[in-house]
Amino acid sequence: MVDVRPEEISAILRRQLSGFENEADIYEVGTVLQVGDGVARIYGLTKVMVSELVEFPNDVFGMVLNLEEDNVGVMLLGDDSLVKEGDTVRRTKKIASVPVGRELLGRVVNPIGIPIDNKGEINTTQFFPIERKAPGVIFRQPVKEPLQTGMKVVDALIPIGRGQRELIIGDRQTGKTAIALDAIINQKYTHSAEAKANNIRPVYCIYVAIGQKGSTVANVVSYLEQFGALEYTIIVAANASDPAAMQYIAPYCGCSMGEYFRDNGMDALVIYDDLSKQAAAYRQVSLLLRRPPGREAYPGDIFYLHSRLLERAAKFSDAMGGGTLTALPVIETQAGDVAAYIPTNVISITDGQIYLEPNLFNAGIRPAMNVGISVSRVGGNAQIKAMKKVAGPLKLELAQYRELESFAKFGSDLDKSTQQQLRRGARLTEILKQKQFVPLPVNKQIALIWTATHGYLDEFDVEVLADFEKEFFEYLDNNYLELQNLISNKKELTDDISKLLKEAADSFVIIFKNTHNIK
Amino acid sequence: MTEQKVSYRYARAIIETAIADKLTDKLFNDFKVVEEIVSKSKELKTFLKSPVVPEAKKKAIVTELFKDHIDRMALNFITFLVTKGRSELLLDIIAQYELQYLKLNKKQKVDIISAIELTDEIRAKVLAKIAANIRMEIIPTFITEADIKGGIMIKIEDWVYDASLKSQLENLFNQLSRN
Repeated sequence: MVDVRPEEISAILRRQLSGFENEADIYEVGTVLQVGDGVARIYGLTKVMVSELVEFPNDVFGMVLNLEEDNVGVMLLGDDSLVKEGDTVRRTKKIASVPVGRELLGRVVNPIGIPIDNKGEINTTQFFPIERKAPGVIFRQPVKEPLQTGMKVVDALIPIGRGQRELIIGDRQTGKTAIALDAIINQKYTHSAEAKANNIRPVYCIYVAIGQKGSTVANVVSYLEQFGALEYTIIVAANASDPAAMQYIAPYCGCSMGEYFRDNGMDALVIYDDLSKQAAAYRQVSLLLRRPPGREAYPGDIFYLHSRLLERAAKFSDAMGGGTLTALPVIETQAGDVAAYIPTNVISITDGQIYLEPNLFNAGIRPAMNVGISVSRVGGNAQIKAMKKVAGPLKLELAQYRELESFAKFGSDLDKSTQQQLRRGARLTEILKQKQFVPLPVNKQIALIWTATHGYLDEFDVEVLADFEKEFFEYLDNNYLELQNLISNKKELTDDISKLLKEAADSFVIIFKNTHNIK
Repeated sequence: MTEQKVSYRYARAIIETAIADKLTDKLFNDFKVVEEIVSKSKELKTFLKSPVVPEAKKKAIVTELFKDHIDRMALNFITFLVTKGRSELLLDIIAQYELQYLKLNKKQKVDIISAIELTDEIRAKVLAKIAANIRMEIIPTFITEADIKGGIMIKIEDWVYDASLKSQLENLFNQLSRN
């Protein structure tokens, strides 16, 4: 017999139960009239407010979307098979909110902030509502700091600034997610001591996966982990198997998590991958709630759906702490149709777009960015001066090359200067190619583009340029470290730097010719 | 769901007409009679629902059945429902009418749920307490529901005042399981 005295038991019970308030509840209720397909209609709840959370039995929550004459339309954030007709629904008088804070970094969570990575609980102290008002004009300042993506073609031609919204658009399998991931991985540099010395503030990243396969999200997580990028990244995942309601709220949740950093004077980058699936999820919920369909069966407020989300990306004024939230929404087009409803909407909301094309991708030009129609409306102000200077001629020569490209077939029939322009253009296009997961620091990008636009590559075959690039960077690392530091510190193309660049390029070209037996 | 919407609208229409003719009370009493008659007979309920019975026959039967018990307005309304093919909603419409009628007369239905039958003394106490909080005439319904285990629950429209033992035990369970 175990000897436990009854007094001891009651003492333990009493201690455990202390703080339990034995008070009567007052709450408001309604009754489920109809449930199915992830939405429910409730009778009663006459005082409920729109976007309020309501509680169903079995711990299922719902969000109020429709207030009608005699019933309330609710989208369920959980399993609809746990809710039956006639169930009692309670008001919570709370708005849907998510946990925010640094504790979430390195974790994979679902849209309501519950961890799904099996790494234990997340002990956050703060909550933000998922729908927050975008900051007004007086709280903002123009975008002026660069957000380096580490991709030559993006940083040179379509630069992205902190606080900007840049759309990544393209067909399936054109490398949209790859660009987003590279941008995240390249932020590792901003967390280093070197960046701190150069006054570059760390960028925290949020990757919102909407309607993707679980395996794809798992891949993303493993890549980020592999490149050491997970520690400053939050992943919000609403997989294809999750209810449409979850997919609909996921970007807002990710945005709120990013706003925590923005509001506390830090910098964050949030990627919505992708918003076309979110729009489809919202369309599903809307149609089930019997809202009238509009163009392509999307509801009337589909534009507001995206505009209110992307408007929350901002660069705060110095008085507000100067924090930034950069947004990289992703849109998947069908057979290159950018004139469809959702793509045109999001193009018009964002500050520019990176347009990816399958034929470029298949031709081996990766990132498959169409330089001609991609733009960045505000990023130019954010580029560092040195990059701006080298990117100027690059843009010009590429534009000329595109115009002449159709003549390229005639080959020798062309005059010397045209042939030279074609030659230069082909080499520039070649050096803008980049492999995935090898982001380049901006000083190396500048050095390479400088050599290319100054004609150092014209004498080489296109095939050897990949080797040239690789060996050139090795050479710079071994012999011109101070040049790289100089570019990072000064951020300008001073005469000294130009002189050093010329010296480095001249000497390397000789070495390269010797090692590769090129005359 | 559509029934709710439809019956709400029919009830609102008839109450507006009744207000204009100052017949709301009379109509309310008539409807009570109709409700009693209909709910007593299962056959009558089935008959009202049945789409097979022709309209003329339905009208004749309804008129014969109710004409001695209710006023012209109520009878006309019921035959009108038959014409519109909504006779199956009769009871729903009456219930909606009652709600709107009570609201009009500043009366409030209150459900008082307890685990055991309340004594008159306690009933009076409870009613006095409720009356002190809402400034309307109370129409109480006392319900015994062993399920709530103890304590009391008061339901007024969407509001629930929950002092039942069941919900307190549930709260306790939630608190313990959360730790």
